[in-house]
Amino acid sequence: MDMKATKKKLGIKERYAHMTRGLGWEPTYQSADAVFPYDKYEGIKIHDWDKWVDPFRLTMDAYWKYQGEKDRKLYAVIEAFAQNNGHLNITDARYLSAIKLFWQGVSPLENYVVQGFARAGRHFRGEASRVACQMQAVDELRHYQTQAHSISNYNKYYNGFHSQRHMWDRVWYLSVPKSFGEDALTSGPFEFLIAISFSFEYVLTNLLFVPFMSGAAYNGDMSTVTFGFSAQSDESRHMTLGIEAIKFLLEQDPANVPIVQGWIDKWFWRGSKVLALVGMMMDYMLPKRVMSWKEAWEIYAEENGGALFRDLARYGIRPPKGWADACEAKDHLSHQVWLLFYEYGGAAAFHTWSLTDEELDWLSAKYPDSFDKYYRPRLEFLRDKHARGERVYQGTLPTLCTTCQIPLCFTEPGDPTKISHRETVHKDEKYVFCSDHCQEIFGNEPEKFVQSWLPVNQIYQGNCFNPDVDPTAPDFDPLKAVLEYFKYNLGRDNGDFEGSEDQRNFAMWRGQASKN
Amino acid sequence: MSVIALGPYEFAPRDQVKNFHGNILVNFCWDRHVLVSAPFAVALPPAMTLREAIMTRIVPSIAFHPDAEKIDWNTVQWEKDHQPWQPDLDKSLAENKVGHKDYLLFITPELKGLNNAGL
Repeated sequence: MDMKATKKKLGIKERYAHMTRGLGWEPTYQSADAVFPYDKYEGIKIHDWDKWVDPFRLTMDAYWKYQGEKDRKLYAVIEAFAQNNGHLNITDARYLSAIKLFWQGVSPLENYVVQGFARAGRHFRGEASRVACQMQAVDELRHYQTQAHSISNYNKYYNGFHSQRHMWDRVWYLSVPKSFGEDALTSGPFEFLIAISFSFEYVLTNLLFVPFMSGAAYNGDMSTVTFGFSAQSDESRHMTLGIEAIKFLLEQDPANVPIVQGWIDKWFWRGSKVLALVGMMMDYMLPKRVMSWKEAWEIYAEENGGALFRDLARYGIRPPKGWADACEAKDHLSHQVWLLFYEYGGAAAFHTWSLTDEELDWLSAKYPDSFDKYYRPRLEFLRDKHARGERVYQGTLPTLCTTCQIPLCFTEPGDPTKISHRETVHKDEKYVFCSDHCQEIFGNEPEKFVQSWLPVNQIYQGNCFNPDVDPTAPDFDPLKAVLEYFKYNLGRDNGDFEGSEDQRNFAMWRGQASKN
Repeated sequence: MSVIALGPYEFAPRDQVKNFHGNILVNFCWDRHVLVSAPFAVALPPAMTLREAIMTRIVPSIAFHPDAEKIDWNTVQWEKDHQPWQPDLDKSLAENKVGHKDYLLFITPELKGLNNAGL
């Protein structure tokens, strides 16, 4: 071919302009409002969509190239991990409970976020915002897939990794992240953006990804470290999108400020509750601990978040309403959630266990204001009972919060032995909540939350048994029937780690790998 | 306030009493005994006495707590949805006006919990 190149390559700014705004057009035979029916009804006013700029100025052509390179590196590591029995290099099989919880409860959220961004990538009027949302949708899909491919190696050897998709829609504790994701997905596109891009990705995601990935590194899980590393550059782009999105909304019209503030209040609180699962993982499930939940909260929420909200004050934005209560809970959250899962350990598809003295001492040192007084005595009491052959397994179902769907295991701010509960009567129907903030979220959108699919209430309504089950049979065991409906392998997926198949197999395989 | 939506947005509450096959859902919480990590939600026939509900559903669920066997149910103090409440244990839930999704707090001031610390 003898075509001559007439011009040098486009500069990054030019290319960005062509590959975003240059792809748009003014509709002629339909009105723009008919083409984009969802970007006004939430009350957000946008006067100039061209003010939306992706700080990375990433365009689709460059995006595919970067992502392809990252995937090639990642899959080489995953393959090596599988071929070299990398699963035997983790510190201890107890660590797997953290991965199980991540796979059961966090990975499916990635899929929800794919859907949300795919929708936002269709429904925003500005081309650059649509392109950014489409790229994030593809990112999240890649994250889900890389997690599936990394974690599938564990599924070959250990319990609790199977039936993820089935469990997500049914299991009691998975309704916590599921309802969080569905609340975001069923919001308008701007609320979705504030919920996920800002409140979750920008304010809270470091609390999820930094401890989780460094926890994996500390515990010898190279597979998880690698997918985390591969996702990290995406995450920083998502965080940047979050901060750009909120500044864009706040700068477009002063009337946007109170709407955005309401969403920040709601989604900060909802996110902090979902992250209780991460707190439990950090303080209890990692055999080799990175930092305490409290320390992570102080760095990533109080310091970084505090600076962020000081920065946003010039737009008239204040810290979220639940901020003080969420900060107060840093001394209690992880312990209360772990003790809940320990007590209901027969009904969780991961293992719980008694802590060693050394682990209790670590927590005493990290939580000088709360652990020895409120939590160590409970853990030691339960450990003694277990040692006497009386492992506590609670069989009576707990009361759930209508909004966050977490059992009411949290205590009143400043009063760690008083279970916190609130109730609201809406149109002659009563609703129970765990906190002022969950109650307020309901009060702002009661029509949404009257639909909450609360697993405990659904069990009592008879909606959580397999179709062939006869609840009138004389030997009917409702709890067992529910766990079968969840597709648990009873006695293998659930219960205490001590004596579990995972514990036995890991010890045996590692012994074979390291001894004669 | 209400949901901001493009069209009508009205849905039936998912947990109406008619969905519970003749039962009502009742929440029980033991005050200042957080070794029992969360309150219980139990589905009960409204004709059941409060005493029977306690003996069959609550007593076995809290039995692992060392204070449990010391409870004198005849002297327990109660709150229903944050209000002081004086039920008759030998009357039915309906007669005691226990409603669907009520939250019953039972208080045992003389029992101080694990380590006398409210646990």
